[in-house]
Amino acid sequence: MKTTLAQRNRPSVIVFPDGAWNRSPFAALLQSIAAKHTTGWVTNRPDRTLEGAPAGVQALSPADCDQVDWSRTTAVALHPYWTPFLLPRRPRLLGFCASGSGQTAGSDEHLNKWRDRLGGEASFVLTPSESYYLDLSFRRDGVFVVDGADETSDWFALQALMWAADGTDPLPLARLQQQRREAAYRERMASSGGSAALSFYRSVYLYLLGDAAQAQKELLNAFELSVLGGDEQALARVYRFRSAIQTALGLTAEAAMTYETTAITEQERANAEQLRRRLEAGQADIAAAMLLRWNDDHRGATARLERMLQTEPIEEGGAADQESTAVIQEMLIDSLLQAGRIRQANAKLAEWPSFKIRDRCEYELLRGTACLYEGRRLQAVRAFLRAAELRQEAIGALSELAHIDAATKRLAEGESSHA
Amino acid sequence: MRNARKSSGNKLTVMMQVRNERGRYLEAALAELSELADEIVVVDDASTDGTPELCRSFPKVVRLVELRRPMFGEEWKLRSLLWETAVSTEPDWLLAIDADEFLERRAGRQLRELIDQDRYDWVALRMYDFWGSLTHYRDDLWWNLHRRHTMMLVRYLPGFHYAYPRWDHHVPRLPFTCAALPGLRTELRTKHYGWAGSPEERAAKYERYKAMDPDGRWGSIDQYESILDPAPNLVRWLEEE
Amino acid sequence: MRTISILTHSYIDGYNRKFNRLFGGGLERYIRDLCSVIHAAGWRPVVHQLSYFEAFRTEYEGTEVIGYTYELGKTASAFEAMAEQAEGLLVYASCLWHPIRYRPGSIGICHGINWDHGSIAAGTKDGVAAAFRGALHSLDRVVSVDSHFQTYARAVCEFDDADRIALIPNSVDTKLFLPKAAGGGADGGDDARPARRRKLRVLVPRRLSYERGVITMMLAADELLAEHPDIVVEFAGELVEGTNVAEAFRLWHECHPDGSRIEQRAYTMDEMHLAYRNADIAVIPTVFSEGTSLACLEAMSCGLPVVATNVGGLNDLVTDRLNGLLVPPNSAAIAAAIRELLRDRPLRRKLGKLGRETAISFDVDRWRARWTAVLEAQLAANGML
Repeated sequence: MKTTLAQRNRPSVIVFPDGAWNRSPFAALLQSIAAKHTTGWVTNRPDRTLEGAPAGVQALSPADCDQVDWSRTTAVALHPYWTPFLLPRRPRLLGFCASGSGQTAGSDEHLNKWRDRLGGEASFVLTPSESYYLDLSFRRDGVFVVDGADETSDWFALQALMWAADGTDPLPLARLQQQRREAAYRERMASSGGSAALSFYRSVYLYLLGDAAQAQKELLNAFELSVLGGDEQALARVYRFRSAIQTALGLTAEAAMTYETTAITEQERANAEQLRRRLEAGQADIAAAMLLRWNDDHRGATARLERMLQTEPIEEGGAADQESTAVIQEMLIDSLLQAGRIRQANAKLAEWPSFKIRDRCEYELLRGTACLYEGRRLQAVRAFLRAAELRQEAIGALSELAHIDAATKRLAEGESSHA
Repeated sequence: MRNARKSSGNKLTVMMQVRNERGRYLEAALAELSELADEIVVVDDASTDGTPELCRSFPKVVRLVELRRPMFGEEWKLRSLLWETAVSTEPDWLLAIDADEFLERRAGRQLRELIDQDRYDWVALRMYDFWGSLTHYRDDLWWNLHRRHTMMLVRYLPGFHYAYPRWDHHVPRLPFTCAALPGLRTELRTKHYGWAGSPEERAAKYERYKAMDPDGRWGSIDQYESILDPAPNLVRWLEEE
Repeated sequence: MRTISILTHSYIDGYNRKFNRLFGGGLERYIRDLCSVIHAAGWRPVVHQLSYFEAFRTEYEGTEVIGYTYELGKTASAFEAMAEQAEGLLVYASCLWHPIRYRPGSIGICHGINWDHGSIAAGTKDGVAAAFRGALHSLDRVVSVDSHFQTYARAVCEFDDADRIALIPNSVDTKLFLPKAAGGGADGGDDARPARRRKLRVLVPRRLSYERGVITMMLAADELLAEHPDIVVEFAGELVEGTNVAEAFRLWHECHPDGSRIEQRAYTMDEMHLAYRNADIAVIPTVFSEGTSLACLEAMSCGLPVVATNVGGLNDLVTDRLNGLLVPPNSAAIAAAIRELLRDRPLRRKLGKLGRETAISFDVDRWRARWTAVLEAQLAANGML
């Protein structure tokens, strides 16, 4: 395809950095992208940050970003503080390369929160940490891991970036990577003889892939091995996951029984009691959503809850129907928030005029964040002020924004948040 | 949907595997257990001395499985069979006890209180090996089971994953996955009379172990040898009130 | 010469080690004015204060000031230690919410209630109540700067002497804080400049902090600035850098489309009256913690119509629609009150006029006379006169 000079020079993918190119944990991947695609790099200090980068990489200042046609450009963020800058521009695809859970939190209390937020709003996420990868896979689709554990698995991650640089949503590749990783675990277990950890991980992958029956077998194996190994947390940390698997198999009553078996704390017992009541009232679908949520499967839960709302008649029905609709709505909002999908949560709340908002302060904070994502800064500030008027601590949201503004400037100067 | 854990009205079922116990302590055991429990389930491992008939004579024995061929060489199968049979009677709690084991009086009195609660799912007691008499137990290097706890009571939770290790000998009497559930270790005691008989009987047992497990795959050779120790350390038993 | 010893946790700037000047807060101003009253009566004031760093002894405006070191968190025992060294009549000028063992025959001062917010823990409030019960029991007199503490003390403490609490509201120097030259307040008189063309100025004369209502005011300002292209909102107070409030304010100011009509400036004590002179309306949007507001008195003394919230001592000063507008502490109510004043010039004039008269009854000379009387009575009671 012939391209004009202008098109050839226009970057198809622009990277929003965290420190220098050659110090990034994603340098190798970026290198491969830059070899095939015209790549931009947002910085005020190219001398500082592009050392060691391929020659074709174009430096852009944050101001230059206003001239970019984002509907035809993919953005790749290496740091979550770029979120308020990036989201309002609506790039055709937004990839987030997340360095992993909690490592760099250090003294920055806001970092993890924004990592979860961008993790929820990005088109896809890439991370070198398997535990973060799995954690996020329970909240959303389109997550990739690049941890060097397996060549083919890493190749899928690279392909994801390549597709995205081309403007194609890499979503279908995520499942392929999961399949490859599950197979890799199977191979490892065959050659090394297996262990509680390997079985557990394999079970998680099988669950994500939708093979609940096999996932259950593997999980029970993991459970046996962990008990034999003397793991005192085997019941909560391993066995309880069976309740999610059983829910996926459609065995809600059994799943509730499993959950109840593992219920030790007062909160867990109260949860088990709730499950029992819902099942007795014939509300197995609500119980199923609860079970998924208590197993942190917010991805699965939101899918179910959205389906339930589509089929439930909202306006008709008596008090019981209204109560169950309210419960479903509440769970959906909470799961969306747990998945970092703030815009969606906010949109839903706008759709439900009769929804009772328990905490107005939290609601205003949510609205404010959604406004921020849309680039409506003044409205965001106003919402945060309204939140602060209700509760003094909420004033922290404004400090946080000031903090992120300052941090974004530093990132543009080539500084890294990783000390 | 019933609660998984009941704090009152729990049905207590005894599960016991037997092999040629008639003439030893079986009758006394079944009599006492009939007082303490609601039901009794027995698996008879191909006895040749009329043990099954003795069991059947106790009305609380609600299930009796009589094996034609002995299974003790593949103990995990035997354990699993006993377990499956016991849970098929829909028990609330199970007491896994042998034909030559007796709860101390105090333990018998506290049984109901131990199981009528919803906080823990198993109870372990201290097991004492009586040696050569019904008055003294052995306490030395190889014989100190009482310094640890032995799980004997479990709540049956339908749907829970119960599993036995696939060993041929020395398989625990209860599924090992029970250990993951919350449990209680008590100072209550059980008396094991298996070694309380004559030196000849003990010598015979020694021979059986050596034949079964000559290389010490399933148990310790040194422990087998210590059976013949001529001067074991014995301690007098004091029944608590 | 009779000695009157004033015990306080702060006077000379011990926080910044500036031993030749006072820390710039209301308490320190109050003590300075009190020392002036004592001097004028021919008595000798001595100030005993806690020192953040080392002990010191100095003189300020003819008053001996002694600084004591103390252990952080042990305020009560620090005051007890100071009392041991102090001569004459003791005036405990701060920290009455601490469980101090007071010397008999002494006076205490309460500068207002600052725990009047729903979010403050009940346990804290109970502790404060217990401390005040002790104070009312042991002190001969407690001077209250507003009627709210008086009511609180009567409702919470036991005491048999109706005169135990003396209400001496804060004051204002009505000769210094004057309305615009005769011929009208800030909004009238000068026909060469029609009021329509000049922007109306809404003044918020407080340090910018949460309890003083900066958040509520920002929200109210948002509404008003959008509706009225002819107004300016001035936040005349200190903005402490690095605080949450400072960050919030700057963020708001910077992204505001009407940012040019939002001003923020810290005035010195001497310049403050100029701020009032240039303003058309004063707003005291306190959320909690307010004794007799000096800012409110100053604004009223300058003939400015005030919008005040019904918190603490503000209720002592403003009677709704008589000498000001009194509203609950939320942004909607404050905005509505300001809106009304912006549109109603005669109302502004009336409130401003009566505000000035109110201020006169709080004139500093009355305050000085009341304090002199209280001190004299106590000296007599102690046999020290």
